[in-house]
Amino acid sequence: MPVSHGFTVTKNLTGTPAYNSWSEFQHDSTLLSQSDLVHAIAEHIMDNWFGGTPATLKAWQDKLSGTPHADAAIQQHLSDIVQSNLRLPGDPPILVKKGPRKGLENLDHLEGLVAEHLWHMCAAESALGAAPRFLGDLGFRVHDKGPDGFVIVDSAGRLEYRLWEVKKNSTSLPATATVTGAAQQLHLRATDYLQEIAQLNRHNADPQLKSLFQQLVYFWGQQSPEANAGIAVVTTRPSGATTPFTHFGSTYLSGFKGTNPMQGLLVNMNDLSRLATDVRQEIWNGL
Amino acid sequence: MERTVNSELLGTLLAQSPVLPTSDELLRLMVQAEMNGMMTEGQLPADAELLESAGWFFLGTASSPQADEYYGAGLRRQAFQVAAHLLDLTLRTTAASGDPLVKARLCFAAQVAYIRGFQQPNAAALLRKTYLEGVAWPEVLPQPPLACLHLAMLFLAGNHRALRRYLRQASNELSGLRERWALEDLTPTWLGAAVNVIYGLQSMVWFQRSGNQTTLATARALFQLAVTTARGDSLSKWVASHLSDLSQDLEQSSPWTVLPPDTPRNVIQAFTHGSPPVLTLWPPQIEFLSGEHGRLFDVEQRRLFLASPTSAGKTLIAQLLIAVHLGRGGKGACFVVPTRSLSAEVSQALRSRLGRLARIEQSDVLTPEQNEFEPDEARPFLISVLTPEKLSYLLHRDAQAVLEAYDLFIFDEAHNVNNAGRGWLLESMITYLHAVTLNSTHQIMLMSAAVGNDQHFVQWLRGGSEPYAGGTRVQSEWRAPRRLTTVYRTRMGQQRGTRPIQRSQAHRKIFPLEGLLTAPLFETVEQSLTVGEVGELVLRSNDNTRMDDSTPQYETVVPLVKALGRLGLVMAVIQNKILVQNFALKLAELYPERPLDARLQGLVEECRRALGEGHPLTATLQKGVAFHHGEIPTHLRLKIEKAAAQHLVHSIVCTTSLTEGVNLPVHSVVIVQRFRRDQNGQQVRTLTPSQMLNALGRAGRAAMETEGLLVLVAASDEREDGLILREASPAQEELMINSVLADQAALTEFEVLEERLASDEEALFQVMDERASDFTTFVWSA
Repeated sequence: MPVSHGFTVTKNLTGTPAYNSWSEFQHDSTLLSQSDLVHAIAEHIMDNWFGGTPATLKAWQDKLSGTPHADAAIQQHLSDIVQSNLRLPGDPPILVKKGPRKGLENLDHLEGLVAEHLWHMCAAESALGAAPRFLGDLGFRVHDKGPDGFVIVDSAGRLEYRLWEVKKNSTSLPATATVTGAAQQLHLRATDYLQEIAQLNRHNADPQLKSLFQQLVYFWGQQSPEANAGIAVVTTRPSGATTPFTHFGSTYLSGFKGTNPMQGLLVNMNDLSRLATDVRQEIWNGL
Repeated sequence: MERTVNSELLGTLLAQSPVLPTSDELLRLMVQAEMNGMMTEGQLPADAELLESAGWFFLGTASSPQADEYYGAGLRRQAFQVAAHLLDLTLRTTAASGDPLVKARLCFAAQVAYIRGFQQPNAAALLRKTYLEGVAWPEVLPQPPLACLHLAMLFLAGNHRALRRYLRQASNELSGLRERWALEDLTPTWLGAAVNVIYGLQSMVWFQRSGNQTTLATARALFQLAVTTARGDSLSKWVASHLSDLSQDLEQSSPWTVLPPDTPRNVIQAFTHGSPPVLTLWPPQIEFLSGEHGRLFDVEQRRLFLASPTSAGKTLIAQLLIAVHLGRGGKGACFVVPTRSLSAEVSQALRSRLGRLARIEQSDVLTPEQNEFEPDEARPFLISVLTPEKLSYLLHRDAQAVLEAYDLFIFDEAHNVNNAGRGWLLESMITYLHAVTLNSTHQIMLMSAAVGNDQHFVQWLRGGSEPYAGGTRVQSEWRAPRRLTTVYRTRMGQQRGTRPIQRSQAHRKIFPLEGLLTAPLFETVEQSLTVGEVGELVLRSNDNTRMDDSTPQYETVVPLVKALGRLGLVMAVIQNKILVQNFALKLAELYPERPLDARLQGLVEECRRALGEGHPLTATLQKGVAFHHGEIPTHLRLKIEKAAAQHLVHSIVCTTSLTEGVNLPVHSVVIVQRFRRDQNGQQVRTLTPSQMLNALGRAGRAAMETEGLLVLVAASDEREDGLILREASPAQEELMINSVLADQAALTEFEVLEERLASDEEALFQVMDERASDFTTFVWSA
């Protein structure tokens, strides 16, 4: 079952000014159980890391199903890569140095990784709008800085792209500050992210895509209709209603000229930190 | 072009982008960043992230295959240059240095932009400046993109020594992983992109060293594989994509491509395997050696004048010319340089490259030496690096032997023909060699960075029958490091007290003096930078006369030199030897005691033995301040230069003894005294325009610095920065180099001689004025 089907759309709004829109997704465990969601995300991550070596990926899946590893080299391969990104169960965790979570494990990167994969799965399933003509690859490494999400869609015969900043908010605070920070980050980092995406794809075999990739940075600089922005926040559901994207259109990113130049997405989870550690545990279970 | 940017250019490149800063705003940010970088601890203004954002924009748009449509070829190159400048500035923030991956990514991107902006040497300089302690080796598995970036940065900087060591380590690690994971190929794994970058770089290194086209094709295929097929992190793929693009540029600039096809392999290898290796040639070198100017290698091209700015790689061109000459069976080359320091440096460079193929002699001793031209069967080609005095001596001793030993003569710093003391010697030698080789195959090349009338030189060398009518000049204005030029002056602050004057009704009024860099670094942004208090001005109360206990003007420059020291080596040029020492002592006082590097300690000991315990040089060196003038023994001067090249000192105070040609890693040149009093008490310029140009050319040495700072110190009565700044870019007519026999003093000497000869023919053998005597000797010898 597609992961996005486990979410209900609780809000679908237009912001101020009108050229921004945003949606709110709420995980519904009656549609997709927490354990199925955890498994789906874990499998998505492992497919990203090991999809090129199917035997290794299958060994991980088999181990989850109860079949022990038969090949020590494959097990080593799994352990080495997972350790490099998530640490192994026996490794000492990195702790939070200050604040209310001082002394607890720092889960920032792990939560960020889960948020990005969740966004990517929703985007691939067309839950964020039109079916992607191109969906940017996920980052391979948990700690790397770089573009979080990139989608190209066909819009009335013209290709348009949207550069997404994906954030996580595991606190109980409203996501408004997260959105504002993400908008500023996108404003300052967009040219960097886009030059990287353009450099990797400018010889795309599809001539239409190739042409767009070759003008990606330029279009952003000119706020051309082809250039659009998006901010997604995966959050632990805060108490009370929030409207984090209400003023999205007045942020650093105002001025783009497309039909829906700025799109917001709020994904509410019951407990993001718990989801993240459960995903990691699922990955560990298959080692 | 000295500047990367100006408002008009930026405006064109930004194309009125609503997302990016305006051209004026960007210029303002750049100036602030430059200035903050100079005098503070590298903190950029809060909104400096906009600089980075604009840098990535220019890199992205200029890298696009459609860039020629946005910009056109010339503007595209400038877009790369601006991108490099902006990313270079960003790299200086403390924030960028905190995360090794962010730092490496910025450095690599700026290197790419420098190379594609035709400023190749800056790629090496940037790495040197960014990684002062060297690039560390991270293992591939924990951080594949960091490993890729570090290897790629070393590659783009041409640092093959470290690169090859790390490539071996990487190769061993990857072999271990293949075995550990029981996989024949790591391409489908999480490391796939990084692995192909690493193997691609191995192939590129092999191509650069051997010229093997197959390995070049392999490298390109591996980079493409990393981008398109391999799994792995996007950063490694991004590195691979840029390396793939750059492989075209690197092939075109390789000595294997540029040098004539009949050049023997071992001759090219002498450069690609030398220390440091020459793996890519710079734009003017390529321009001179291939294309229209490929005639440098034409055996019929027997007279040449090569004009290009300092730090554009003239010396390497001369070396290549010698090497090709050697490869074609030439007899020998005589390389004439003006100073012993330069002679040592040039011969050292030649030995490191051609030492196995040729016998290389350096000599400046004017005494008979045994077996100077005795053939060496193993290395029959003789290369001699001589001062003009030494060549003159050899010619007088046995001109025929000189002409038999060498069939290529190269004269560096040819503008010295107008040097009052030595000009005639140089001119007479060139004239003589030209005249006696009119009907032979001997080649003569003159080089200079500071001649405004090089066409006159060409005409001079055409003075004969064919084929010399084909004598030619090649010229380039290219220079890689940016150059910032500014004026330093002092400003009087509020009176802060008085002091009595004995036996006088008047008293002293005390004013602090503040040091300011005042001239605009960029043409449209007026901003001065305060150095702080640099001395005090003491005026007599009744008539405001400046009193002797005011801080001497030269001392007010000392704090500036100290402040600039944090950017890199500072060269302070002063005419007077006593003031050189005093300045160095004052400067040294500003530095605390520090543990000495063993090499510097050795130099201090040597100075102590040679100059005595109390000599100022031993004291200043211990604080990292060197000084250099004609009265320091030659062997110590050479060691001081070596210490500067090894970054053992942070400042070097000198007369013009160090401003000609020697290749030191100088960031800033401060011309402390621009005027002096001549014998008649008239105020005259301390440096001629040519000398000024050469001195300023020390700032921002290619491959060592990405920019250089020139500071002209204003005299107290000079108000117009614009007039002062003009000295840094003298007009062609100011750089006219004429024979010393053509000036009024020489003509007067000849007039006197003629009058004496009219009445007494024996006057020719009597005591004459210097130039008349030199000329007579020349005519007599010829």
